[in-house]
Amino acid sequence: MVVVAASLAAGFAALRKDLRVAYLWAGPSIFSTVDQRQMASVRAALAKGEVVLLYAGRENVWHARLWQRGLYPRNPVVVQFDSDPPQRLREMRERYGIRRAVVIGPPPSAPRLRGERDLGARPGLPGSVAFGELPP
Amino acid sequence: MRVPIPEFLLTGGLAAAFATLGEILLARRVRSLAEGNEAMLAGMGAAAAALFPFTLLFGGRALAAEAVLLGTAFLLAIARRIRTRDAAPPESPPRTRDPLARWLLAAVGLVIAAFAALNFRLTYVWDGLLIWATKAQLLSHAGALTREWYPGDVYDLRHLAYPLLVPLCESLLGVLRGGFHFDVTKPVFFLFYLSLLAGTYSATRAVASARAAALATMLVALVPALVSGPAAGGYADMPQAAVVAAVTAAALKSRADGRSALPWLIGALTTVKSEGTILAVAACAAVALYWFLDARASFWRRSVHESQSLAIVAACFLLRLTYIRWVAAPVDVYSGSLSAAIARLPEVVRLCVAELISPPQWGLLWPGFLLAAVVLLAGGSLREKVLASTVGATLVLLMAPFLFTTWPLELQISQAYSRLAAQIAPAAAVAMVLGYRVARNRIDEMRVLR
Repeated sequence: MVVVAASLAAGFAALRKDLRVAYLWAGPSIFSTVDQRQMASVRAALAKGEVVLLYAGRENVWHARLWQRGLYPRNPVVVQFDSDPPQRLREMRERYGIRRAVVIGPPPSAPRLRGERDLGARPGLPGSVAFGELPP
Repeated sequence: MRVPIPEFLLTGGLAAAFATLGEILLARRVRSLAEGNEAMLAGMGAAAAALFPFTLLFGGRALAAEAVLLGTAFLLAIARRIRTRDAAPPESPPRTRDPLARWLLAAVGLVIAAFAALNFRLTYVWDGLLIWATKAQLLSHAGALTREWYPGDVYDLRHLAYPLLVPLCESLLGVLRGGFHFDVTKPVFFLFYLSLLAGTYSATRAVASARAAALATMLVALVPALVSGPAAGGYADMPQAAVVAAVTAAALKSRADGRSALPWLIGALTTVKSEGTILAVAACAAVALYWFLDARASFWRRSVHESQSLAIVAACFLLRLTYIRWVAAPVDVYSGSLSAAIARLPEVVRLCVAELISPPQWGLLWPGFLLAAVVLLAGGSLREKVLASTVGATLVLLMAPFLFTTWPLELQISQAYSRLAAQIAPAAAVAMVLGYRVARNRIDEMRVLR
């Protein structure tokens, strides 16, 4: 009886916590409507198959990976975090012929984009998303 | 709650197709829910194991070949049913008249409803998206297994070697609906949750009363790692637990026709998560131990007699190992030395035990199992003794990867060990109710003797 009671307590406590999170915060899609709108803007500006860079700080790992999956397979995304060596960015640009970038945050070390478009803030999160052309 | 109705129905069709493939492999017709669950998981495991050879044979059409295989199995099963529809009707197990068992099953029904409410509302949790559904996306796009991840990603390349049963189910759902989409794969996890509970009930019912079976099912249904965030968030641990439950059921059931699903299900263990290979080794060791203790003199004769079963399990191990070699993914998380592993053993054991006795994560499941294991080892049948010792040994075996981790030890154990232990929770719950039964019988005997 004690084991069953303890299981009931543990199971219902876990369910209650996650149900609360799910029904307060989870939207109808893994991609929020803001994500979808921002991704659609970027997709519209890119040629099919064009590889795009995504630059972000480590605190935005989830969002960076979300964008990578959201734009795939039409547009492969190379993610560069601010903690990655700058040399890697050069290598990736050369290897994949990357010309344009999405910047989330932006972190202080982010490349300055030409013709930058502010795609707006993300609800409930600091910073915003920008899209533009990388300097040569 | 948003139930994607078309995908929900398609998942049901997919489950039926896997079950018909299982029927062909097991050479027997499904006659009950428990047999349907066994056949489905056997079919899933075989299909997931076949994906690698299909990739070598058919290139980018491997996923399509899987769909053709399942479609053919499904049509064959329909044709066979039409041809033999006047044969003996399906067996339905006698309905329990035990009111407590009925109440317990009703309560399990409520937990299933709560899981559905969470599963169909929550989006993916970390690994659910970044590993498992991602593998499904890549598989759907390439149509086969590849040795590539997204361009430029190096660290995540290690995920390439992860097994494929869950991504395969998600991808095949994409094939059926005309395209992969992250937002509609959740019915797959509801299916696995039902399978987990059906397997647990079936395992306990094979050797105990309906009340005991309902109780074990209730205990498993409420394990936080199997009913809440990770399970509903797309992780593969709960599907792995579903296969463990089915393995336990097949191991505890005796079949007069000798057509046990056990070898296919042990093989299926290797196709869900990487640690499934450890679980499959533990299951093989348990079977060997049982054969040895049951009739030492005929151990080798029995092994030869079961050579077909051994070949099935060996083929699954071989496919898994060959796939890992083919992918050649970097192994950068588990690369510590043996001396370092020995030095950190006490710390690993301490941290893992702390996880197992954490009430918010388990209630009292593992302390309860420990007591039951002592009772079963002292007074259980041979099968029960082997079950208890296998679960205990597997809990220890699952600590082994942490001895070699390059991650911060405390962080990795807190994130992973409970999920690993949850995979064997169905077998532990079965052992627990059997231990309770043995203890109660012993107490009753002592009362009578007084």
